[in-house]
Amino acid sequence: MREVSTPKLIGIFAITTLIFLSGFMFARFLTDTKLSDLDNSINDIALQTASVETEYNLLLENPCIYGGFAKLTSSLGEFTDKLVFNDAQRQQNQDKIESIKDNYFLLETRHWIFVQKLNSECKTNFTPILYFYSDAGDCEVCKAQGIVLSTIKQDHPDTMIYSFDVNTDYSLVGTIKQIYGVKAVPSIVINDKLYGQFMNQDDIEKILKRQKVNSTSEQDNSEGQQLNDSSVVLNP
Amino acid sequence: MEWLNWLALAGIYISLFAGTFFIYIFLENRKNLVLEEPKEWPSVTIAIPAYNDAETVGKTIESVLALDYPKDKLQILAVENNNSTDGTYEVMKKYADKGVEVYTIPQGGKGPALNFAITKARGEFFGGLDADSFAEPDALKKIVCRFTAEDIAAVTPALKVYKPKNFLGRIQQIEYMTGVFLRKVFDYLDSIHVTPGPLTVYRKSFFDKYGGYDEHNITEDLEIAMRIQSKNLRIKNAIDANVYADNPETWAPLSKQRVRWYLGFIENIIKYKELLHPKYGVLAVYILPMAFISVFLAMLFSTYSMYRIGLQIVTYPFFLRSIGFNIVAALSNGFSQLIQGVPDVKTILAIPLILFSFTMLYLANTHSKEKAHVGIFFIAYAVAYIYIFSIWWIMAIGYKLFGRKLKFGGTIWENSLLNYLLNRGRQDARG
Repeated sequence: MREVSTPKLIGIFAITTLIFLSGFMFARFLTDTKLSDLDNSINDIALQTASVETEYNLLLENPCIYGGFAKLTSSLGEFTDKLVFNDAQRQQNQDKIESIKDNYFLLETRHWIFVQKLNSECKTNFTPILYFYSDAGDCEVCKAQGIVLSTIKQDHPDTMIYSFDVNTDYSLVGTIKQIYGVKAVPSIVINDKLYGQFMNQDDIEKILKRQKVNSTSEQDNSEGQQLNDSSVVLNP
Repeated sequence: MEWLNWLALAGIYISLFAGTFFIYIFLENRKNLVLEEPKEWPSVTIAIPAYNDAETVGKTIESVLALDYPKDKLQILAVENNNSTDGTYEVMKKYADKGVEVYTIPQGGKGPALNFAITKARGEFFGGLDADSFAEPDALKKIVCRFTAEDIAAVTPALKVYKPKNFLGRIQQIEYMTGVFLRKVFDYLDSIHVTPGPLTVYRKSFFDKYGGYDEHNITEDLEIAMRIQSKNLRIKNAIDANVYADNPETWAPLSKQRVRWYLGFIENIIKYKELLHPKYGVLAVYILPMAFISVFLAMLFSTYSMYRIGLQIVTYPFFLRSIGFNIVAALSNGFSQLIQGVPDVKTILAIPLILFSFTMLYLANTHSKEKAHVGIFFIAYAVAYIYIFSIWWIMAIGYKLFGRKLKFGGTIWENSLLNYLLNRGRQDARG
């Protein structure tokens, strides 16, 4: 039997192709499931964001009693871990992934603005850190930077990390980049100051410590001022 | 690296096709695995060539003496060659009174020893058994049963590794068991192109008509198989005839053996390039090209993955330093990426490929009545094998291009491209 009959060959080709295509379909199915899962959670976070903001605006009398904020913060934090795709998936689902990410950047920005409001109006001490990364393969240290920032977040629960992909076409991210003059990846903005390079844990810890000292001394100063004021009142 | 992705997918498709094809052919034909015994057994000559094999030759001769075969139909020849210095000849002579014909010849090499044995052979069939191998008692009968037609010139056994002792041994065990499966499939397709030294049995008339072993060939068993194919004769396989080879299990001798095999494959494919003509059917259009394609795919897979792993190893210390050697954070990040990431199509398609390899091993095991079962770790051995296989091939190709001189037993090999060019240059200078 040095020959294999044509029908047999066609059959073997058919089986091979069937297995091959099933592999593709299964991969497609898994990716689709993941994307719709991401879609659901981003919608959920959007709803939470809207509720928190609305609640804040509703409580005009005493806006600093706000609910749901902690849950929203942790949902946002967990979501960033889910944004894991390989190159092929990224290429095949570019539009879908872009739209999910843009949604996420919008929600991050709203959270960031909200935190700034809380800091100024409710005397909270959150430290927002903006982190600009690239996952287009041109940022070798971005992975390390991401891990450093999550460690910082663990050690300092008051920090709020907001990560933005610099490669997005989303105009909102473009505007934020423009505000701080972000040119390179990775870049970090702490307290409105841009650090356009990789920052290790010690670097960031130092900045956070300095900032804490500043803010406490500011508080001390203002309390001193008040005391002086009252003393002025007491001793006319 | 888009093209690399396509190449990998093409490689996966080719491998899936091979798996489907081979398993289909095996399952389709396995009904006729058991054959009826002939009324009268034909006469067979078994030759044992030995050079410095004093330690193992006794066991080999005893395994031949213990063969379940009519004694008056079995001629046993033991041929010491190349003036062994370890007393091989003396060990052999002890078996003279048990009917073993013992000879010694001054020339070196297995080829000359077997050719000498052919001149002394009286059997209708002729087989060699290397002095470091041994056969199970029923092996010869099972092989002889397979000579069911006049155009069958040779029948190969199921060649296995005897009790592997270390990692390299176990890798070879998996390799040989896959070989047991493939040789049976190639039998069904009439495409066997290697007749291994240990107990392949030939119709002696083939040697009378087409000459004996090629003494200058570094892989005489490959040469003879390709010669049989080129004469449009057939080679069959007895999957239940177990023969065990005592293989090298250390790196240097094993690599030397493999460089010889793979160089021999290149040499003999060049010598018998007519076998690639479509008139030779499946052998020409699929089995032989597939041998080269699988080498190419293995080299591609191993070099690319080594490059990726190497890059990781080089950059990892820097990565660890930038995260302040926070290994816990690195691990938890890696773990999270692993669970959050979705496997891509290549990873998913690795599952049917692994299942196919497992099926092949399972079929080989059950049909050759192998007692030792390969465990679930066969995947690790199979992956390690791809790397080692690629290294051997790179070595063989390197020698073929730039080698000067290699000595395999009594055979000297100098057939490299570099030597060819140098010789031509010298001839031109003279001319």
